[in-house]
Amino acid sequence: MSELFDAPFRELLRDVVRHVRELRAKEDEQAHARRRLLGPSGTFAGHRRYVAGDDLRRVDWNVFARSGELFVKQVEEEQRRAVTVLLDGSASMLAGDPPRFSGARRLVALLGAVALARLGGFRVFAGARLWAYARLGELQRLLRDLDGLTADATDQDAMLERCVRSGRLPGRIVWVSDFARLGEVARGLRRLAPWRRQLVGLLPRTADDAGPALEGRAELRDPETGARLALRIDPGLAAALRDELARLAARRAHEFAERRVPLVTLDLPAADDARASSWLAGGWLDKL
Amino acid sequence: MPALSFEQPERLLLLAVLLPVLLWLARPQRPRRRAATAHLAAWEAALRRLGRRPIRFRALRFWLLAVAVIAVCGASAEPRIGAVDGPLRLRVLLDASASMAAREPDGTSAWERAVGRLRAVAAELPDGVTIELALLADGATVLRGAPADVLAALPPAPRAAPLTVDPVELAVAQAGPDTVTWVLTDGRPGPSAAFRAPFLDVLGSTLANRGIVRVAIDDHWPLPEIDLRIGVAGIDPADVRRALRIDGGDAIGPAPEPASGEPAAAGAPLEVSWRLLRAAGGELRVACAGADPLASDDAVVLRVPPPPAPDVAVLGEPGDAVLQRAAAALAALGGGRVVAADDAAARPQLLVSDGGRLAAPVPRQLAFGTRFGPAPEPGAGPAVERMEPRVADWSRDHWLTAGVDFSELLVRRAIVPVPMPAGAEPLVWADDGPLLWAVDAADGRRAVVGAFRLRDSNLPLLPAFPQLLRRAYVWLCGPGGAAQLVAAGPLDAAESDLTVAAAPPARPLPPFRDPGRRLAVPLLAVALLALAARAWA
Repeated sequence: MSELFDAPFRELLRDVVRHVRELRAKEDEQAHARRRLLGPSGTFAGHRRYVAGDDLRRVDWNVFARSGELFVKQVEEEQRRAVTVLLDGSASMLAGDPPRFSGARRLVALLGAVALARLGGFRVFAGARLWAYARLGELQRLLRDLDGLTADATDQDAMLERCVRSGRLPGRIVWVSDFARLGEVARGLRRLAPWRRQLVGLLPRTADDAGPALEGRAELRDPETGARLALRIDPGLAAALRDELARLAARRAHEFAERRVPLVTLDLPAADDARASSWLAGGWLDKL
Repeated sequence: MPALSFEQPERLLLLAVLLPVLLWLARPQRPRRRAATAHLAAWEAALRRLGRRPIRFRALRFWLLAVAVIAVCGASAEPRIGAVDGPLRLRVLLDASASMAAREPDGTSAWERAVGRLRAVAAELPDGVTIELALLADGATVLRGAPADVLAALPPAPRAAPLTVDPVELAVAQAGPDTVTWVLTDGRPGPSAAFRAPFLDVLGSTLANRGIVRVAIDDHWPLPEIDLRIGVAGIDPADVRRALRIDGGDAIGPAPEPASGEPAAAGAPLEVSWRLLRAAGGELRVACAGADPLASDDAVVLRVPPPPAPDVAVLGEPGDAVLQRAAAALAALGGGRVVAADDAAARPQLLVSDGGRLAAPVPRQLAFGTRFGPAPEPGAGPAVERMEPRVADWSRDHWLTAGVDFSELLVRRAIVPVPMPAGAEPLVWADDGPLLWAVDAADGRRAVVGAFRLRDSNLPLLPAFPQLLRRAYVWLCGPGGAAQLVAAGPLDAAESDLTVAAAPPARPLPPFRDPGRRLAVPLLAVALLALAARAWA
């Protein structure tokens, strides 16, 4: 049993899956009606390259006969249900107490549980890694992958570049990051501009984003650059920092608004908090 | 590159304590908490907005403080740059003999060059080096003090005296680990022992010089004769009469031509002699004619005392021609005159008597057959007389009679001049008693007393008579004076001999102990600058 995905959180995941299944039963009736219109496999929407984990029954063998490469047929329903997570694996995600990266992985696990429970595809780009999950039964593998994931100072620009080059960004794209460096944010939004209608920014907020909870002498460290800053925190400095953080949040919101990309924020619960009311607060899942 | 030295190097050890303490104090305090943040830039922006600086080790401030501390510690160690170890005292043995004044062909003298050299060396002496200057001639005159004072006390010219002090002996005697003895000489007289001095400057060159190197005076006072012998160097014997001038003024009579002899050896001084006759007395100058490099040995001045010129009173029978001639001869010896014994206006200094009676011998009396003492009582018998006493012997030791022949003296009649005063010494004896006495009383009165009258003897006819008169005159006048050199005597031959080639290699002075330039003040200034820069940084 990992510390990240401990028993209470796994119980939360099960509750979420159960809840999604109940919702899916209702949606299935609507899906039958749509299938009557679009066919049992949904409306053909195009081809995409075969990736590991794809159902071999969906391989378009005619295209393979012509091109010699494997392509699978995409239908509208699949595209709508697929979720792709771009998880910022940079070291800056280690900031906060508990670290933002831990909360972010829990959020990704929640997202994966919901997506897989809806019978949709789920992909995770994390640094140089790409994981794809097609069935709910792969939720445990997702949890293992996330549990073993480390914030290894991977360049986020490089990750986005690999993601864009893959050309396979179906369904909803959720970019999970601290969005602390506006330059990276702007560059990422520019790269993902072709998918801006599918793109959602998810900011797991920690106490680090709210302002200093410290007083007196402290040493702050940027995990990504390794830079350190020793200072004496007093109310005046705390107020000035809050102003700076508010200005940063405003500019970040402006960047997302300018690209017409929604930005969803969630105050991360404490590490030992596994309540659904805490992890699903604000209905952020619905916004995705 | 000048060397750096410290007078108190142990104080630098303070740095071993202070620098680690400074480094420890300069380190920022440990933070109470450490936290990772994704918003380090925001923190830095907040600090900038408040004008604050992060807590960190400020290398520049630390090093500025370290520089200040190092500079202060360095200043406390009293650093000096360019310090040189060496002697602390300069003892100058400066030849101040007469030859140092000899003019070289370029118009300068060795003395002037020595003084100039001394001033140049003194000007370059480091602080703290003292000078002791010994002027060496016929003695040593030592000047001590600060270099400026010593140089100011230097006489303008050397002494007109020969060098009789051995500089090497002084140099060896005064040598010490912190003392440099420096001999400045013209190298004369001769290849001097001074050339063995460890530090030496020889400033003279070979010159031709004429000079009076020796003076011998034989004054026959109170007689007028003066025998003057002068040794001269650098003069050809054939050229003596032209090269030497004697100027006596009224001191002597007309100067005769000098007599010169051959020098005893090649290069030895030539002896020139005069027989001079005293006139009124005064100064007598003997000089070499013409100019030469050394003026101080070109002339000597003698002071000739005036003759005693006593007036001679005669007490005897009028018309005694022998007595009168004797008195005239005595007067002529000293330049005086013969006066009558009863001349109230005259003040005779010498009395010649023949016969008669006196209460006692008077000072400076030459008495023949004169009785002394009170007159005999009336009715007393005739005075005792000695008939034809025969000369038995005379004193060979007394100056009055030594070498005088009294063997032919015949006396027809003599008296017994009793009582004789105290101090009477018989000079000539007859078989029945003394015939001639010399009275030298304790009160200084002198008299020559004969027991016979001149006309009762053949003494005036003997060669001994003028000798006796002359000796009696000299003895009666007593030691009155003699011609003497005025001021310094002549140089010796070696001092005047400038032909000696003396050119040993100069042995320059070693470097003296130089404390160097103090660096304490510049270091303290550096410390202040570093602290000021640290306050601004």
